[in-house]
Amino acid sequence: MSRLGVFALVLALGLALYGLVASVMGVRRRNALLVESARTSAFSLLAVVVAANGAMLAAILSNDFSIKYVAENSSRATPTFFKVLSLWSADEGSLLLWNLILAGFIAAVAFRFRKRRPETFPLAMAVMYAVSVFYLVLVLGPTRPFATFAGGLAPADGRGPLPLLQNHPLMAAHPPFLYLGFIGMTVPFAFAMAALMQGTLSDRWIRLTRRWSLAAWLFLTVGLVLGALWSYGVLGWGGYWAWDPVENVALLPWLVTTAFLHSVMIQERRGMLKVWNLSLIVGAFALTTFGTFLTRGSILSSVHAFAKSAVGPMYLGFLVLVLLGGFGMIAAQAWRLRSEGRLDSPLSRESAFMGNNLALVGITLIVFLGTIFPLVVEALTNRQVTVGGPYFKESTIPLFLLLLFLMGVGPLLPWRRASPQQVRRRITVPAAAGALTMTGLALSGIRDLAAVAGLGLAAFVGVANVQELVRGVRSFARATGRPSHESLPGAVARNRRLYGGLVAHVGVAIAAVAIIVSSAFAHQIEVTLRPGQRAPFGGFVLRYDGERVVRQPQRTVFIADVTVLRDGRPVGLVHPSLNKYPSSVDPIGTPSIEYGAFRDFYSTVLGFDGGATFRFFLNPGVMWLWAGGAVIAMGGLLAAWPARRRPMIVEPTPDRRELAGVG
Amino acid sequence: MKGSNESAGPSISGEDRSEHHPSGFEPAGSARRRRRSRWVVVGAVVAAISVLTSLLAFGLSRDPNLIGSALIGRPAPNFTLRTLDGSGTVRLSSFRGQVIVLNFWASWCADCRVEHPALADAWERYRDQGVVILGIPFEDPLPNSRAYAREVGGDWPLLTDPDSKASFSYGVYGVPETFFIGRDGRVAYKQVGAVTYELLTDQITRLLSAGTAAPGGTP
Repeated sequence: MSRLGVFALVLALGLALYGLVASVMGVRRRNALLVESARTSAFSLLAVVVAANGAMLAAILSNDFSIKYVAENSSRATPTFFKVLSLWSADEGSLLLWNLILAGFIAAVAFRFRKRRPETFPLAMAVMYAVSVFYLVLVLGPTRPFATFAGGLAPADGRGPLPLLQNHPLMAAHPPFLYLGFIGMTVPFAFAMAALMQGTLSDRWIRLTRRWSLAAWLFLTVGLVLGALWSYGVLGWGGYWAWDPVENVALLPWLVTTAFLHSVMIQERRGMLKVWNLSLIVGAFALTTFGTFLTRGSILSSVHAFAKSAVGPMYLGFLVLVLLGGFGMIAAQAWRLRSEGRLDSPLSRESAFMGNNLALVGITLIVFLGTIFPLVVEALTNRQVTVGGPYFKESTIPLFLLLLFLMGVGPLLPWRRASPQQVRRRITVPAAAGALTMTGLALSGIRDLAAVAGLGLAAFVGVANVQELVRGVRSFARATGRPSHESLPGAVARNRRLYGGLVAHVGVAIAAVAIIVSSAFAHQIEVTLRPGQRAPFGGFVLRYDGERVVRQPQRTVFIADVTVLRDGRPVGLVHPSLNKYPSSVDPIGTPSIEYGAFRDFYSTVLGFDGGATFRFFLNPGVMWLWAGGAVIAMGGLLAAWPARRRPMIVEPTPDRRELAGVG
Repeated sequence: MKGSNESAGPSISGEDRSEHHPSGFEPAGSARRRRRSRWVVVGAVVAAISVLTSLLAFGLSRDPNLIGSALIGRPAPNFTLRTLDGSGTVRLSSFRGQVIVLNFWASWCADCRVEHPALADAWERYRDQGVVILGIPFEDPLPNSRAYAREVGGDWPLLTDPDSKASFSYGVYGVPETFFIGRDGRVAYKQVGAVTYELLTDQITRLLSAGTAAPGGTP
């Protein structure tokens, strides 16, 4: 299996190199055959990378412990489901998956543009192949997933996956989604680079990759939400976001891509912000590289120092190449990329989008600085520090509030210029909803200013976006002369992007409510109880009924049974547990959560020592975070879903034919 | 890359004038100012990239082996552990006055297999010179440890650490990790990752000679 895997990877590297050279040569020599062969080799590349992943999977499933990766990340007792997950539960294997997804994206692009080929296509392929070459070299040189034990000294059994990673089935979905989002960013980046290299000055790359960027953003969103869900359901500290460097580096490209999705609309409609948009996409791609570098190069967390020496410098080199290449190309062309339009009025959707971009980039900078700050301090003073949640929270809250405000205002404003009367008419209801919410909260005695403002703004955003949705459907109904409720699909189909955006905004409003409520109004206690003992908590009484021990093949589970009583009657059962894995000293806790529409009852057991020590949380509103995430994803899906026919363009767009592209 | 443009339009250098001045007129001063501000932007971008690069390069250059080394220079934490074959117990403090190589390993650990021959060679060379190697399994089920020991051989004392108390007191994070303890009973060096024969001989000879240079250290 090891030989097959290495062989497939070498073959893949050869194919990627061929694709790179053939696309570049094809463009230079204007040889369509070369370009076509570069295109079709994407499919062969995908096939051999699938074979490499298949070889690893087969080795894991067949307990082939002669491969080091299998010995260190799987064991005979590991259940099959988690064996499959072992494929990406450690560094080397996850790079295999990374390569698989990258090859998948390249093949998807090759398939999508099989007939109509934009002029940027060959060079975009070249850029993607170049990225692929880097990641293939990574698994062939410095990290070798198929490395075997010298002299065939295979151990009899493996270590098994890290206990934390075999504790929850969400491990199956969270990393692949995150990778799809990270790697998906390669496509718009490649087309942007190709446009710059060709000097076409056209913004066709934006139109070509609109759906690809949206898809990458969608995957990233889902990946982040699943990550939060995993953290909440597994780690047992009662929360879902800890501003950990690993979380931050996944958030950074999401923030920049969100900004990008909005600002490209300004370029499409008004021919403005060309340099800005290119910078955003280069930034987003560089941040995905930065994120993987930070988590794998053992820079900050220093998870392990084993044989990682060569990976870090390679990532760093690649990152510098991306930054210098990307921003260098932009700088070289920037003076030609002049704005064609200008801001007509501060009261316009453009200005709301620009504000949103500034806020998002501001948050990105704050989070980025907070993430690398420990490194700065260590470089200057040789001391090790960590940056905690309060820094991130306190410094980003104003910007998040601003963002919420703009998210409500933006959709109310028309493009170009709004008349004050128009704004007044549209903003009345949402503003009233927001003001009422704030007043109500303030009157009910809530003194947390940020929470009151945030909830009010969330109400404003929700109402504003729903109102615009309704208004759009109604006006479509008037135009077609059909009743409103029948017009919904037609109206949405005509402008998926608008409605997708509105739906996503509603989702963000829901998620914002959840985040504010759960962080401002949560309760927790820590108690030690002997069997039969009770403790009051948040209007409930908790009774510890006793400990059970369940032996499973791969672990031993110590379960604490707790009955939740209200007014003396049982209303629920929770059973947090500690799992003892043979390969690990520290038992891993599994929280037990009674999910509720309005609040979660979250329980963890910290230890059994003459009784049981528990930590209980009442987390209000967390369920709405997942709901909001789902609504955001629905909005993204709506906007990204391919239309059956080319949507007719209703609004007149200025004729901005690409200057160099028209010969 | 440039070639693709030739038929599509004027070459890049020819294009720039026609495009830069669409109307054919622009005050000369503003062009100069723009060029200067362009250099400022380019300079700022290059500066930012260089700062970030050097910062990350610094992050990479840190020796990860030094990170968990709070023990170095301190007295080695004592322990009493049963031997892997169950024949008895071993107490670290009973080796005081000798150079001790404390090696944490596991049956599932790849690099432990890699370093095993080096340990075996060092053991053969130094076992009669006041040097002892102790092997402690880390997060490893007992039957697996025993099977591994039978498989790879090696007759230096192998112990068991069922509650991981010893690995905890040494702050072992992963395996292999190897601690070198001088004759004075203090931790002199810690190696994260596989040891080589060269590293073993270097450290052992250093500690042996340090012991002779300062005889009568703390008993």
